[in-house]
Amino acid sequence: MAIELKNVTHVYQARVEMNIVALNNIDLTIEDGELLALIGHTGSGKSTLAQHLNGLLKPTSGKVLIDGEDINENRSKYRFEVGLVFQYPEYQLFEETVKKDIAFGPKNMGLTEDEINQRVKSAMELVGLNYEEIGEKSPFELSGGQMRRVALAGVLAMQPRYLVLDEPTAGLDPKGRYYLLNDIKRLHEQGTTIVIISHSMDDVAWLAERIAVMERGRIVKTGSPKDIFSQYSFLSDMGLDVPQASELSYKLIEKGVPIKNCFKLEELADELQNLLKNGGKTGA
Amino acid sequence: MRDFTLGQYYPVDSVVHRLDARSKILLTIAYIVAVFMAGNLIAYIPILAFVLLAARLSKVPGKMLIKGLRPLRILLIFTFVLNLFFGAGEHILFELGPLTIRDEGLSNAIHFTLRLIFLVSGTSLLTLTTSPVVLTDGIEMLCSPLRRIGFPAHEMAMMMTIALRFIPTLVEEADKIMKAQSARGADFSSGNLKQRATAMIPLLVPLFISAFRRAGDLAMAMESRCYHGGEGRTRLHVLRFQKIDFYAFVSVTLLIAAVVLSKNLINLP
Amino acid sequence: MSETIFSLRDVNYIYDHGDEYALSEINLDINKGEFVAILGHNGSGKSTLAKLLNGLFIPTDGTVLVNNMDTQESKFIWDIRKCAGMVFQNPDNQIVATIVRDDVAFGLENIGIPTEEMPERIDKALKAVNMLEFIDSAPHMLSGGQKQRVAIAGILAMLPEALILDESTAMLDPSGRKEVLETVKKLNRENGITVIWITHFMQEAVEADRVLVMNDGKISLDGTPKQVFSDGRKIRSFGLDVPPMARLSEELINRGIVLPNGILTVDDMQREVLKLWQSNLKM
Repeated sequence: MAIELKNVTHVYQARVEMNIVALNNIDLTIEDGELLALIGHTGSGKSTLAQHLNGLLKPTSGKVLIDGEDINENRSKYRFEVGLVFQYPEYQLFEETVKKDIAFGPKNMGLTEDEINQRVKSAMELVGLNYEEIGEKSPFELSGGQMRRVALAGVLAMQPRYLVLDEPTAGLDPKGRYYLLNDIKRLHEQGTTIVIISHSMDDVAWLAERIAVMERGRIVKTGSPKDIFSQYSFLSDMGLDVPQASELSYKLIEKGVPIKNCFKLEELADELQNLLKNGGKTGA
Repeated sequence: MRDFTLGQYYPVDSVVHRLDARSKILLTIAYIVAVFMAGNLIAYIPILAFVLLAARLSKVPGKMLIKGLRPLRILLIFTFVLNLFFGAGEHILFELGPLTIRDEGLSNAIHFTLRLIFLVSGTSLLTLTTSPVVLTDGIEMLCSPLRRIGFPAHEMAMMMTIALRFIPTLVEEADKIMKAQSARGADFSSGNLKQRATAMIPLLVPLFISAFRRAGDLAMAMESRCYHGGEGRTRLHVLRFQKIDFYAFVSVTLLIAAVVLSKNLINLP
Repeated sequence: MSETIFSLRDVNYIYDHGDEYALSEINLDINKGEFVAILGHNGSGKSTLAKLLNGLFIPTDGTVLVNNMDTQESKFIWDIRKCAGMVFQNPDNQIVATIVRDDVAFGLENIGIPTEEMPERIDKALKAVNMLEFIDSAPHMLSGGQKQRVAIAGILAMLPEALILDESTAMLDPSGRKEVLETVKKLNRENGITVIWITHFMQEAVEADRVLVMNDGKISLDGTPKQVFSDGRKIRSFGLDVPPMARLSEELINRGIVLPNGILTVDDMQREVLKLWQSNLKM
């Protein structure tokens, strides 16, 4: 029960006589229940790819399949399967109250009033917003971080099987980031398949089970965070950052230090502890 | 859509580009008057000559002028056909079933269509050869005598510049909002008029709120750069009348004269 | 020879529509040429402080002096803003004109610079931020980092002594952030422009001369990056975090490894680890 992108190409006309190939023969399978991170430069096609997952954009050639069926041939069936949260989603809030705004998605799905209320309640719980306190407030009275969680709840209320998040922590302060990342992790642990697009390598290191690297409309590499982040020179040649732990590991290994390449600080701390405290006896 | 600029300025160095913006505005007004004064088909000859000469002098490629007419295709065809088959007139020239072509109808069809074509192509020359900033400068200066009666010429010009500056940005934002709401199941394209109007709320409310926020931010940024209204401001682009402006005025006077003469001297429809 | 460019004495600030202190008892001196980073959680008052520095806000109590000019005296306000320019968070909402050149000219037009002097100032300002080739471009075609650099040029053209950047990298991607930070560091180094850099990216604060940490309207920490980031627990109590290498350093010290204070960057840590490892090998 995966989402598959098969030979997906997307070309659009930016200007008269100027076609841009936003996606070039993308082959990607997103497995049920995984947490995949999509990284790459601005303009590499990440957002375009995301918009193909929920049918917002159609491939110029190729297919997008869910459970083996082409979503663009069965639009009504798969319309609400994939939830997409855009960058700075708080800019879409429009209703008089938080409750009503979150209810927008479920309403469009044609659910009964009871079902809608139920969904609004559970969505707010998922993002840590108190239904009694915050439900009746205007979304515009809230802080930036809260508004963002309202926007996220608005998509979660549709209970999509898959969730795509485009730069979820963009513009948030450290505390806001921390809460949101925890919400995302929790959602994943509860079984939602998640695709996250991010420039923040620290976020990716913390959340991702698998990473796909994009450049100029192509997926150039996929692998585990361990695999991908250990390729420091490949990534930095592409102008991408790595978590600082990876960078440090790489630079120390280059100088002959016998440690493993770690992308998580805790692991690196373990490695360095072994190295420096226990007289250099490590299994490198 | 990001490329969309109202009246697309085409930056190149030409005589027309170098004309004072005020002249160009006044010339355009005079030209529009001339087009409306065209009483018979002969009158369109000097008008055509004027437009061709101006276009040539402006070094703007022909296809850019034609591009300005493309959105009007339907209106032009509509105007022509409507006037042709449903116009008034005493003499019937042609009949095919329910469709009748009368003399006045034919003449109106041709006139109105030509008028539209010349109006649009002529005025688009204005925006193709004058950058929005300079254009609003010109409007501001032309309106400044009205300041004495309390007309806020500078503020109006500032508003126009800022509006022009933000059109592409707001279009982009509207696009983003539409996508986000579509992802939540909003439907902007189907339903009757009432349904479609209601469907616009999730688009318009955030867009308006965003526009207000931008305005607040922009005001702070402008104040931080010492903006304090029109008093004491200098200009990067200085408008100065030159010899070429004089020649331009002479040519448009000739145009009007030619149009008037053709009405009175030559007796053709 | 350090002169004070910004001086705040006993400053309190309450918003018009509120009754809580957004800022309380602020006493601060900033010298010419300093690169000061200001950190703080959302609502700590850092943006409010920024707006007091160029007179957009007037203190409820106390005084704010910019180059010895009191922000409460309306006769000084334009000179104050010429002296201290501000760049904001949203790259789009600062650009007024439809062409880069005209936008950079905006400030010059406002302060009445003669037309003949403008082209040179504009060119110089754009060159200083590496955006000269975009002088005829439309702003909506530029990337976020490019737009911010145009905004900076618009202020540079007015020949300011100080540049206040209020979370100006918050909405940019990593390469845009680097562009802007590098540009501003260069202006500080080469032109002696005082920089007030407000951010919530810890890693950016590492590059400053001095770091202020704000919490609930007060300045809670004031020192060099090394000093400020040395107390991880304190920083976290303010809703912030220390840079990753400082965190790693804390962790290793907790586990009994002897490391000096003040490790903030990968290069710092690399150096120290190599030192320790090599001395271990010699034993």
